[in-house]
Amino acid sequence: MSRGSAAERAANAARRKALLVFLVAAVAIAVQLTAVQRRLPAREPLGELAYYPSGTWLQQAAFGEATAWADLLWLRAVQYYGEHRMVDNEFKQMAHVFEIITTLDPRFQGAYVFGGTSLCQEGKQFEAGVRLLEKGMRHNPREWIYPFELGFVHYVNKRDLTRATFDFAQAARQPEAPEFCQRFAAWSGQKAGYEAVAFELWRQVAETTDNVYMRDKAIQYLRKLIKGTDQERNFEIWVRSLPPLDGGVSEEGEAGDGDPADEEEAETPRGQRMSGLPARRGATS
Amino acid sequence: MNAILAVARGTFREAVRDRVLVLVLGFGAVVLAMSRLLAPIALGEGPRITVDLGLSALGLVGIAIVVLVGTQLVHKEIERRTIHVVLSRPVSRSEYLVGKWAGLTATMAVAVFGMGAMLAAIGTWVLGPSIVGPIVQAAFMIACANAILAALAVLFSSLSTPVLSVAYTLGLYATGYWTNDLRIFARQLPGLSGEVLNVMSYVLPNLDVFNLRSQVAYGEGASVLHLALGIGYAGAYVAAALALAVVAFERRELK
Repeated sequence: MSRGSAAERAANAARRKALLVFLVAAVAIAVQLTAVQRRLPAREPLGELAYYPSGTWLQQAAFGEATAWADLLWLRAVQYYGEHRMVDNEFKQMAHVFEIITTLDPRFQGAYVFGGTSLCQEGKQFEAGVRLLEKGMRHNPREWIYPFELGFVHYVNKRDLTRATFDFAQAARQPEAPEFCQRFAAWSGQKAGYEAVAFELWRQVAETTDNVYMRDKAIQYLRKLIKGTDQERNFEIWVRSLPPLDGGVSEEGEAGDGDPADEEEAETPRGQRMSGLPARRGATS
Repeated sequence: MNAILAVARGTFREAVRDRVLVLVLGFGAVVLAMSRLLAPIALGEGPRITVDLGLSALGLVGIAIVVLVGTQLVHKEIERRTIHVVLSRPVSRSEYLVGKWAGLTATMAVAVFGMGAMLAAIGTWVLGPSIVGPIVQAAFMIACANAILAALAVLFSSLSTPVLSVAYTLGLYATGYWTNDLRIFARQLPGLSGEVLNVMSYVLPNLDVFNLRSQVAYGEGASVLHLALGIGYAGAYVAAALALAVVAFERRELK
């Protein structure tokens, strides 16, 4: 009995000692790690993306899970975009990453559209953005969205109305093309006022996208276009009336965020409230 | 037939008792939950990503069961000598092997369809009821692909050690997704090496036949012809692999 309890006491003492050593070691690890991390040079956010191999190689190594890898890379790419948007607005690896994603999953519409337009605009890599959208069109020739986005970036970024008209018309010819493709083809073909058509294009993006970053971008551009006009208040009400979207770090307030008077006005249909804005610039014929 | 069913039942019960099934299913449930948790940061791609990653989890769970359970099925019984108890009853060696495969496939199918049902429920919630059909088709094709791998695992398990069986089964799983590329590669190689590679591309299992993931993620299913050909191919491949296993196992001297 006494031998048993002595052994038990020894085991308890050993356990207590081990626990003490564990706690001391844990504190030491935490202190050292913090000290070491402070001395390390600041890393580029998600800089490892530069070392990703080509999509063709990854496709072979994916063992039938290529689309799942594309999804995981998409999450990483979104993070990359968000980080750099907040830190330095430089997107060096974006073309590479979106090229990989779309090679792994050639039907990934979100990657083509978001990657293509972001490269053309804040990425300042217009050619790479156009290449990505053209790749989307090659792989999905019956989808209207790719020629439409090509028309969009040529119109908004390069003011190339001839090319934009061609692309919008191409989009309008596709089987499930919405009516606005034809409308934009007509406007850009008639060389309607640039700002008015650009406004309509961005409004289309803000109202139809599921991507919170795309919507933020559209609202920023719209805000620039509308600055100094008498429509600013209506515009802010319209912004608040947009349904909230998941994810990302939105720079815009969520729906119904404003004062009660605004909320009351925001209940009217969006299209009605915003109608006439481009016309004020005297453009759409 | 009764002997096969008895062995299959025993194998199924053993796999369930082994806790491997619980662990693997737990892993699958975590992956399903993770894919749903990731959805909000996916910028509008959440519902599609949930289904896509969920189907990947289904495939991984299936292959994990086949590799972890299947590759030691026969070897373990030979080593423990419990195989003599089974074979001393009116059970032939071929019935024993086919029963082992059937039990392993049933275990894998229960896990894949159980998780498939979970995924279909989540898919209905995020994408609507139209996604259920494509998910069921994809789960079925995953089960067919894994049934082939289960037959190969039984073949290797009856011939070799568990470690080597794992290596062989995983090797065939990997090359199963390269057979189409092998065929293209073979066309570019001159002479005998090209011919050998070409034959190999037909001998190795073509697992791409069963991969519906990229279609299902976009809400599309496979044609009836595709499904029928897939089932036929899986059936023929399983029969061939089990026949080889029986030939080898009949000759094997059990100590």
